[in-house]
Amino acid sequence: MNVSVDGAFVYFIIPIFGGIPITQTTVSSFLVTLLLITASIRLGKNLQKRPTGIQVLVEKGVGMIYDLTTSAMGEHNAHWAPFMGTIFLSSICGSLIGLTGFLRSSTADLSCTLTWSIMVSVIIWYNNIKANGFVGWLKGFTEPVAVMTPMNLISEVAQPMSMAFRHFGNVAGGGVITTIIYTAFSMLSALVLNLISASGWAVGAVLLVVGALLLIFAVLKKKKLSLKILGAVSLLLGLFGLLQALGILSDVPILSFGIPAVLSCYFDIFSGFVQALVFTLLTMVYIAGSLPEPQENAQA
Amino acid sequence: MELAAAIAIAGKALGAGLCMGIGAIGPAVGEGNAVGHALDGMARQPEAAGNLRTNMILGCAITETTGIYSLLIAFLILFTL
Repeated sequence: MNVSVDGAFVYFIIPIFGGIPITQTTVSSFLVTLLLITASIRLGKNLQKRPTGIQVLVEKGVGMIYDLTTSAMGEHNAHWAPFMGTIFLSSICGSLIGLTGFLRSSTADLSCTLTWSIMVSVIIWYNNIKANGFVGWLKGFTEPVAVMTPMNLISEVAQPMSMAFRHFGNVAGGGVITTIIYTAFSMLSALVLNLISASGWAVGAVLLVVGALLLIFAVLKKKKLSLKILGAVSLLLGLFGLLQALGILSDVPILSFGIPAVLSCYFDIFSGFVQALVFTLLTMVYIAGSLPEPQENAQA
Repeated sequence: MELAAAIAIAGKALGAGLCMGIGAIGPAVGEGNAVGHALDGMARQPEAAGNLRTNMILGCAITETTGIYSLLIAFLILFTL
């Protein structure tokens, strides 16, 4: 079982401050930041009164983020929307950037998600201290009764930890499972191809012809899709088996071509979106909890 | 491969399997419960379906956390222990 599952490897180390390692995650998150900055600048320029084309989409997106923020944090906290949108977009782009093949998704690394959740915790502590003073914040840990203090302290630590691990675990776990399945399918195709090509080129040729005939028959007669797939697969297997028997091309992992991609759609795309939404919504709820209530008398 | 290494590998495989197996029971039951009640709500009040769906997905993602913890620990056992 030679499944190679490794963390973000270090490209090079900047020698100042005792060596700052530049890892794959740093590169991906810088690329994501660059991408978001250029996108927002380009999309934010020359906005027309009557939006056309891309501007409609952008306005819809920004509107959704503002609705999400106001629904989770209340009308008086709408000014938090840009911050929440940044977390949401950098989390989604961070997860999706892994699909480019050579980059590693930035959220598949604990150092990225833990930084975000610690950042959120620092914001919460700052708001608490600003709202009811440093002593008030410390006294807050002894609510509702003094014996609860250790529990409150633990929950203060557990909150950023759970947010970081949930996001990291989903994205990284999905990546590992997809890697394992890729390896399994490439082993399967290596096995099948060796079986075909072991006994010389005859088997491959026969399979090639049979597959081709089946495919043509199924397409012409408009048969069920499964027949066409069967024809295509046997055609491919025969072709690559033949090539391997003749020694031209060996061990092409053709079986790992289609199927794992479907899985990575679920793991990378769907759970990337869900985790971004969960992380942002929880950030909103936690920060809203630490913000002072709106003064009704102030807003007449 | 001497016996000690074989036992170590067997232990790792057993540990990872048990960890993931037992760790998956809790979230599965919790999420099934959450989705069930969300569907009841949707059946009773179809126009609230959108709101219920987002909260259901949110709740499921949060209950998934413990399952993800056991997944991570299983990977740690398998790949780094």
